[in-house]
Parts: sequence; structure tokens; C-alpha cells
Amino acid sequence: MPEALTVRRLSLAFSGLRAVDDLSFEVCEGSVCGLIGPNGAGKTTILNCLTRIATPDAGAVSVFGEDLLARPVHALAGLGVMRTFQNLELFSELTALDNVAMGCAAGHRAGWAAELLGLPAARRAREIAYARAEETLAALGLQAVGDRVVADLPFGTQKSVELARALVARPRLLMMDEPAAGMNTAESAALGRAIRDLARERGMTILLVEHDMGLVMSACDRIVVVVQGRRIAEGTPQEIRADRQVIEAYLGQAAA
Amino acid sequence: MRTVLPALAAVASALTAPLFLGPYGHYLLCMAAIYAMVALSLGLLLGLGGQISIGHAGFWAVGAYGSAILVQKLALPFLLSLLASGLLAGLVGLLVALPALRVRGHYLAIATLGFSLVIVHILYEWDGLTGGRQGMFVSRPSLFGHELGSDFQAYYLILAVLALFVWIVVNLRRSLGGLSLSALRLSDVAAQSCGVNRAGATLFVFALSAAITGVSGAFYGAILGQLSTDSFTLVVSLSFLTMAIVGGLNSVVGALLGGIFLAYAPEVLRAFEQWQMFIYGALLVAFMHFLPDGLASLPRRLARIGRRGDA
Repeated sequence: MPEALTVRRLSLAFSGLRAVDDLSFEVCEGSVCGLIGPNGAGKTTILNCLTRIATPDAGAVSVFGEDLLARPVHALAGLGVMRTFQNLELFSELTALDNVAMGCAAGHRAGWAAELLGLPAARRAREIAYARAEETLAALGLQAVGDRVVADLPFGTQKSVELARALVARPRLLMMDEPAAGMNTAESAALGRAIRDLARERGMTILLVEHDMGLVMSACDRIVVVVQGRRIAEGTPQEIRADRQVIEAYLGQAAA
Repeated sequence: MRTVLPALAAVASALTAPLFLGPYGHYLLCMAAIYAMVALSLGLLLGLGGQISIGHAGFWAVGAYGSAILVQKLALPFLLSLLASGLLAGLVGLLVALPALRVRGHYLAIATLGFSLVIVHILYEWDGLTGGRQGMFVSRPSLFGHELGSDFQAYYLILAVLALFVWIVVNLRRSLGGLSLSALRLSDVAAQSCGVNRAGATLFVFALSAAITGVSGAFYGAILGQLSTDSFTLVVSLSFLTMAIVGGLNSVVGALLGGIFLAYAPEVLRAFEQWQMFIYGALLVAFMHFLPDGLASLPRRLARIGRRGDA
């Protein structure tokens, strides 16, 4: 299968500390790849490099054959790349529906001039974006909270709204930063099934940064293990489970 | 219906109010509508876009002097000079927005303040064009060659332009572009990840806000009949912010109330002249603390208190 995401020799240092150190890996289209590692391993920094929020010192990233580092952060949505955030980055004062509509707003907009003049094109764009947002909320069982301000919603619901905001854009590559944080076992199992369905039924490519080993092992096709910004192992869940270095560096701690 | 009826009532009273007032009342109505444009532009910039400016007196000056010079020296018709002063102020707004791409909060406030001081200083020193210290005379507003000699006539032109601005601001607030500006204000990282071009949106909202304020400035000069740089000080920028916040940043109604406030407050406070800035400052703090959405949110607040009282 062709590669959706290719990361080549990526490096980023913060005042001498190597947060990402010569990291390479690739993710095949339609597969689920887990990115794991102990706290402070640099996972979120890697994700920020891959979404143009941080700029690496060296290396290359390509998404569906396009050079990602040559593009600004706001161009990623147009390439079909969406993400969720570790500590939630919702538009707190807006409703859940507004938040989700924002996920596909940029792709539908009619331009400032049409919007100032209230032209039919601008009104139609808004209707389409909101119709898609309603559809996506309903698909996640969230239709009841559409007109609620997101800041007033429980944490778990906010996470779902954020996922809906990423999904409404029908991304080809979805990056999720610790989606299972704060979930119980049943919720994280359901999330795992949902992630597998997105990959299998919609052909979506998913990069999953996660601490929840149960979720990673059950949902991922391949796993990349990172310690101190370096890749120490890569393979299928079975291979990773059996890898001595991984057990020492990471799983060992968790099991102990 | 709940919003249509009050809106109709507001339009009707704006149209008929001059019939019950004398010349000084007409002048105050003109000023209220002129200030309301500025409040509208600050609501756009600060309320929707989340970008502070304490330099709006600078854009006001660009519009006022720009229009006056075009009419006086180049004999441009007043309506065209309105358009030109909006474009000119919008262009200057683009320049001022450049620091906003890098800094925000206090730093942006200082950058906009610095800009307005520089603008006013340039206007003051540019004797040949602006009359410098003596100031300059400005012709009355005119419409297709007919001079609007009284403020009664001018008021309806100002009101029409204000209505145009209200219309575009309402359109913008209801559009995906308005949603994008809100998103950028609340989380610029997430908004950009959703495809919003932060630089483009910031430049746009600054330029639009400056352009509206520029047109307001053009009317101000023409109504006053003369211009001097004393009309564009820091105190004026701060009064603009006060009126925008007292009225309410997040609605058109708030902007209109803000304009009325700034036009009539000096009348009410005339006895306390030296204390005026102190009173504005106190009002600003009080409103931000107790009524952050301004007078426009008062009916909603009262309704909620009323309901609580019933229960």
C-alpha cells in the first residue's frame, strides 16, 4: 500500500535538549499507527512537527507525496490532515455545533467579499458546513448537545466534540493526541473499535499518540516506540510486546 | 418576532428623532451615529477578532484629514472622498496590523498607540497639507453637488452609511468568515489546524475596522467644519474603547448604544468636566467587571434576574 505519511530524519532541539532526534518512520495509507513512549519522550513535539505547529531543525515530512514542511499550518486541512489535541483546543465560548462546523468551514468559505455582502454563495457555504456538522455530531451520538456552549460540557463530551471537529473535514490522515486520556476501560475499548472502523471502512490513515496500552495494542496495525526523541523499535503489536528494549524502556515501567 | 419588533422600533425612532429636536439636538444625533460607526469597528476588531487597539483615533484622523484634503484641495465630491478615506484608513490599518501578526495583548496595545501618536504628529507637522497648528477648515458634507447645510440633512446621510456598515457587520458575524475570526480569537492553534489563515484574517479584520473608523472620521470633520490634531489624542482612543465596552462589543445593538453614550455623556457630565476621564475609566472597569457584554446585554441579564425572582 502507498505511504500516507513519511517522516525522514526529523530532529528538533530546544536549547540543547533533543526533543526529536533523527526520527524516521512511515505510515501506510488506510492503516493505524501507534506512536508510544514514556512521559517526556517527545511524542507531542513530534505531532506538533507533523502538523506544522512546531518547525523541526532538520528532516523531511511528506503527506500523500506532498512536502509538508514547505506549507504553512493552515494549508494542512486542505491536504486532508486533521488533528486532535492532548489538552483540548476547543473554541470554548462557541456551541458544540459551531465548533464542529469550524472543522469544515475553511473548505467551504465563499471569501470575505461575499461574506460582507451576504451573497447567496456565503449563505449556502454556511448552510452546507452546518449541515455537515449536524450529520457528524449525530453520527457520534452528540446531536443533543449541538446548541450547548462547549465549555459547559463534561470533559469526555468535549473530547468527542473535538473528534467530531476533526472528522467533519473527512480527513485522509487523522492524528490523535492521547484520545483515551481520562476514559475508563469500556470507553477506551469503544474508542478502539471506532478507530479501527475509520481505517477499515473509510480508508482513513490514523496516527495515534497514546498512553493506554490496551487501546494501542488492539487498535494499531503498527507501532513506533520513541524514547528521548529517538525511535527504539517499530513493528506490529506482537513484535513490540516481545521487544526486550521496549519492555525495559517503557512497558517494564508500566507493568511494575 | 422578538428581535424584529425592537429593531423596527429602533429604526423608526432613529428616523423620526430629529423631527422633535432643534439644531443642537441634530448635531448630537450626528455625533452619536458617527461614534456608533467607530464602536461598530471596535466590536469587529476586539469583540469578534480579539485584537486590541488603543490607536483608533489615528484611523479616525486619517479618514478625517484624508477626506477634508481631497475635498478641499482636489475638489473631489464628498461621497467619493468618503470612499477614498475608507480605503486610505483601511490601507493604514493593514500596516498597523503587521505587528499584530507577531505580538498581541499589551504589546499590540502599545504598538497601536505608538502608531496613532506618529500619525497625529505627521498631520501636525505637515503644515502645507493640514494647516498644522492652525488646523484646517472643512466643507459641509454634500450629496451629488447639493450641500447638506444643516445637521438635520447631514444626519440622514450619516444614518444611511451607518446602516450600510451595520448590514455588512451583521453579514460578516453570521458567516463562516465571522465564525473563523471567533475561532481564531478563542484558539489560534486549533483555528489554524482547521484551515484558517491567521495572517490573512488578522490583516482583514484590522483593515476593515480601520476603514469603517476612517469613514466615521470623514463625517466627523465635515460636521465639525474644522479639524485640529487635538481631536485625535490618546484620550479620544480611550473614550472610543470605553464607549465600545459600555455599549457591548459583541452586538450591533451594543455599538449603537455605545455611540449614543459617547455623544450624550459629555452633556450629562458637563458639570464634572475635569472628572470626565476619571468617570470614563471607572465606567470601563465597572462594566468589564459587572457587565462584560455591555448595556446591550442588560435586558437578558434583567430577564434572568426576574426569572430567578419568580422561582
